[in-house]
Amino acid sequence: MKLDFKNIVDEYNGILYKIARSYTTEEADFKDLYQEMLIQLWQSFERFKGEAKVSTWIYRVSLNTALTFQKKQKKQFSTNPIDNVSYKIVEMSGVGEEVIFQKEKKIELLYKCVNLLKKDDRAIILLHLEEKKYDEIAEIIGITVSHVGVKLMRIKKQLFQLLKEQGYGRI
Amino acid sequence: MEEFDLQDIWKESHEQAKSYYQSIEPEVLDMARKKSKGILNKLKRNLIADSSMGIAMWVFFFYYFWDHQYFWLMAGTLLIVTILSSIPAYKFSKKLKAVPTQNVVKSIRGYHEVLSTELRKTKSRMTIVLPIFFIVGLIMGFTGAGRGIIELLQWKILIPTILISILAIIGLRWLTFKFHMFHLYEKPIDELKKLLDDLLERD
Repeated sequence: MKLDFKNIVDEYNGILYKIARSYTTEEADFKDLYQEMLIQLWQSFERFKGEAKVSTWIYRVSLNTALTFQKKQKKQFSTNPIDNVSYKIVEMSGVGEEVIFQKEKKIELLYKCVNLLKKDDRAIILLHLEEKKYDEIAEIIGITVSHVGVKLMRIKKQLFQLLKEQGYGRI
Repeated sequence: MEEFDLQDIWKESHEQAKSYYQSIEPEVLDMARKKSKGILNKLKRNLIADSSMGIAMWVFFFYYFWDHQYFWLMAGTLLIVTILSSIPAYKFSKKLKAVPTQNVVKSIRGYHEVLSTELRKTKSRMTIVLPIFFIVGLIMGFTGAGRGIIELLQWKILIPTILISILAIIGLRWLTFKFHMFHLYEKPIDELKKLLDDLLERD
């Protein structure tokens, strides 16, 4: 069981990272949420009987955890914005440092803007950015496909607006 | 800026995810098996703590008042109250496990229902338990001070005692709900309700 679980996390850890980044802005909160998602996945792993795709199960459990996650009370001197400690893109062959720097800046900006959206909107745009189809998003969230379409149109407009305001074009 | 630009940028953050995962990979299993710090687990722990406190109070009572003239009456009352208030912790844990997990909306709705029911039950439970503890304490204090229980039943003493007790119980209940239950139940219930309304776009 331990080995199966570890293999799943090895393969799908990207989902946990992206969700945790989308729902937190402080390093401590990010780490807490990442761990809480691991705990919830481990606890529900026993009950997961493969009735859905593994990735669907991970999105469902992790998004539930993120949506109900309570951030730590901010203490004046102990906050550390996650941008300052962002986990660096590992070496890419043939790509210059400047290019990597630009990419990292764009990623930070995208997460920053996603973080400004409402909690429920973040879940939907996140799944869209993960290239999930409308019916998959509807299945994970539990709303109709047409509802996903309507919501996504509004959320994308809002996200583009936020990106513009935050200076996306200037990067 | 095009939509596919954003999806490409999003994909690139996978590199950061890998980098973070590498830093925690050796302890992933240990992390997964730690105790949850989520609000629902906090509630569960709180209910267990309440029951444990009841048992601790009973032990304390047993140790100090075993030779008291009303010991068995009081000890029996406290024991029944303690047992009755221990059952919810067990039931709550079972209900949490039974929350549907087919999708996010169903889970949030399930958690909302479990918490709302628990809050209602806690309020009723406190309405019954607080006066019982208060009356037991009152009788023990009164008789412990060398006065007979018949003396307590005299109107001159009984009426003011009842009035003061009612005020104290109301005050205690109000304080408990204002500071304790609000953070434990009402705030998360409101947040879950808002989340559900937003997901389903209800007003």
